[in-house]
This record gives sequence, structure tokens and C-alpha cells, in this order.
Amino acid sequence: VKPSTHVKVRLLALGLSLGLLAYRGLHAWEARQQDLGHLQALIRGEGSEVAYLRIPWTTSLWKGRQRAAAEGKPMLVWSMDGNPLCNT
Amino acid sequence: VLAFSKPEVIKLVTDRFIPIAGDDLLQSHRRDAEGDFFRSLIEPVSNNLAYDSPQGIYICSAKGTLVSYVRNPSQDMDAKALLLAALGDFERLPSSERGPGAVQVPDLVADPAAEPQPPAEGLTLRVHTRCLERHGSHWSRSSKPLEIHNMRFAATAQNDHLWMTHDEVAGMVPAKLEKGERVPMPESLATRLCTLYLADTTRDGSGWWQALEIVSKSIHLTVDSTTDHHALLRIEGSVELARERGADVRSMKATLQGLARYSKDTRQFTTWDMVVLGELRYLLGSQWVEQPMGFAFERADGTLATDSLPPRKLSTRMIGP
Repeated sequence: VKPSTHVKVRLLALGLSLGLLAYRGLHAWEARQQDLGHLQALIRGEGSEVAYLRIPWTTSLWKGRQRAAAEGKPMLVWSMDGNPLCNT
Repeated sequence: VLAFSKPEVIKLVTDRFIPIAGDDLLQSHRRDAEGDFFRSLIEPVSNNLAYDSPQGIYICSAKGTLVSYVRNPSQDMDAKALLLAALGDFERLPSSERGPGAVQVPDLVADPAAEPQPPAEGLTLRVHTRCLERHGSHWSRSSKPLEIHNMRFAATAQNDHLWMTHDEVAGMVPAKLEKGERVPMPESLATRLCTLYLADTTRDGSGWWQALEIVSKSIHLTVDSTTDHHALLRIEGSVELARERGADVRSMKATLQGLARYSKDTRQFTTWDMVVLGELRYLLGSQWVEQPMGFAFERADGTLATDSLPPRKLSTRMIGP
């Protein structure tokens, strides 16, 4: 049995409504995520404050020592009360 | 950290050195060959210190010969000149201790107490803490150094890690993953979050709260939407903390907001983005000081060297008596 034109229109409207709701939901989620992202960046820091993280630090003294021996390079050991990569 | 922020310094360190970052207290307490190596490295420096802490920057060979030491690296330090001078000193060492492969370093039998591992099938979050400025509803970074007890601190973020157990992760997933379903954050996690991670750790070591200083806490996760493979959850809540320990009088009210994505396939949170904004008040002499605080949390995916570091509180316990 073919649905009547009236039913077709109602189904189409329902589909569009659900699609719009899903879109709005997704959009709202992304907007909230964007707001959170801005706040996270504000708190985390950026630019010169976190530039030191571009250096390929290792947190293992022993693995660093093994690499230094193998590659013939000096070890630069940055050792503070609390790991300096965390306690700035 | 600003001593290592200039591009030429970053390149020099990356190309010519093996850069290692560690906690001197933890390293000097290790009971293995790594601890022995570190203790021998700091020995000539420690003997000349009026302090117990041997913190600083050590430049040495893999054999352990110290060629340079700086106790307090500052942002004004000429890091490039220091590094170039140290490289020159290193080059003057006998080739038997500086050539590639000249020194043999065996694999380490590590002191297990010195390398705690995160809980199996748990979740690790990066945590960033910063003093902020607030102008109405607008929050910004502090533009000037922070002062307390006649000491000045750079207004930078402090970073830590939060480890969640498998049970805590499972406890944050509603039995029915349907829109609107809501569960409280597990008690153990909520307490740890409040006491160890909603604290001002930027200026002194006394920022951590005690459980009995939690006046109230209400933290929930609510299913926002689901698909066949994942669920999106909102994290919302509020917290109030207060302390009166002699002259140390402080309080904080904070609100939490966050979003997390849970995979039905792996039964893990694949993202966790949460921010807590708080108003810290503390008594300084006879004056009340108000300090807006920001705390940011994000899932540690293992891409940063720091992702493997244990929570700071756990590190202090590892040192022991």
C-alpha cells in the first residue's frame, strides 16, 4: 500500500525535524567543545611559555644515558625539586 | 622553562645534547644503578651547597664526568653561551669517554618503587593549574608576577597528572547509555580531584586540601547523545572547600564543566576535556586576597614525554622517610 501524499509530507517533515535536531545537537556539542578548548588553552599556556616542550626531553635518566653513550653526545640533565617539565 | 624557549637554544639542545628532565629528590632516592649514577653526579655539587637540594642543570658525559652545572637556571640566563661552553669542555674529554659507543651502559634493573605505573585499563589526565585574572565574565592570564609571603612567582601554569583506576572509569558510565542518564563521579575520584587537583600549586607546596576541608561537592556525568559506537557525556558540578589551619585560612568555590567521549567498543574514554574555574580567597596578614584560579584537564594520549610521569602527590610519597 502506497502512503498517501499527506503521510509522505508528514514523514518528510519528521525526517527534517529529526535531522535539524541532530544537527543542532551536534552543533551545540561542537560549540561547547570549542569554548572548553579556548579555556583549556588559556590555562595550559602557549607560545614561549610552552616552547620548551618542543625539545625532545626524555624523563628517564638511564635511557638518556644509554642514548648519550651510543650517540657520543653530552647529557643535559635538568633536575629540579619536582620534574621541571611539570613544575614550571 | 623560559631559559629553553628561544629557537636557537631549542635547536642546539635538540641537535647536540641528550636532554633529560627529572626530579632530583626522586632520583637521589632510587635504589638501583640509575640512583647510584645520579648520586655520583651530584656529589661534587652537593658538597658545596648550603642547601639539601641539588637541583639545577648538569651537563655531563655518559661516563658521569660533570662538565657544567647551573643551580638556578633563570629566564635571563644566556643558555646558548652556557651550552656552547659546555660542548667545548665535553669535546676536550678523552675520546674514550665521549665517542659514540665508547662507554657501555647496560640495561637497567629498575627499582620498582621508583617507577610507579598507571592503573591498568584506567585513564590518565593532564592537569594544568594557573592563577587567572577576572574582569566580569571574562577570564585572562595574570599579566604580572604573583607575590605571596614576600616571594615572587612567575605567573605560569603548573602541570600534573591524574590517574583514574579501571573501577573509577567504569563508575562514570551509566548502566543505560541513553540520553539524560546521569551518574555521580565516584567518591574516591571526586575526593582526589578536589583535594589534589583543585588546589593552588603555583606558588607554594601547601596548596593541597585535606578531605575534611571539602565543604561540599557535587559532580555528575550526564549522557548527552549516543551512536552505535560511542556516547557523549557532559561533566558538570560545583565544589566548595575551606581551611583554617592556624594562620593558613583559605576557601574556594568552583564550578566544573566538561565533555567526554566514551567508546562503547573499547569501553574507554577517548576524550576528556574539563575546565574548573574557581574563586580562591585567602587571608594574608589581616587582608583577604581574592585569586581567580583555572584548572584544565585533558586526556593524556602518550604523545608527550611528560605523559608517563606519575601524579605529583604520589612522587612525594615515594621519597618516604
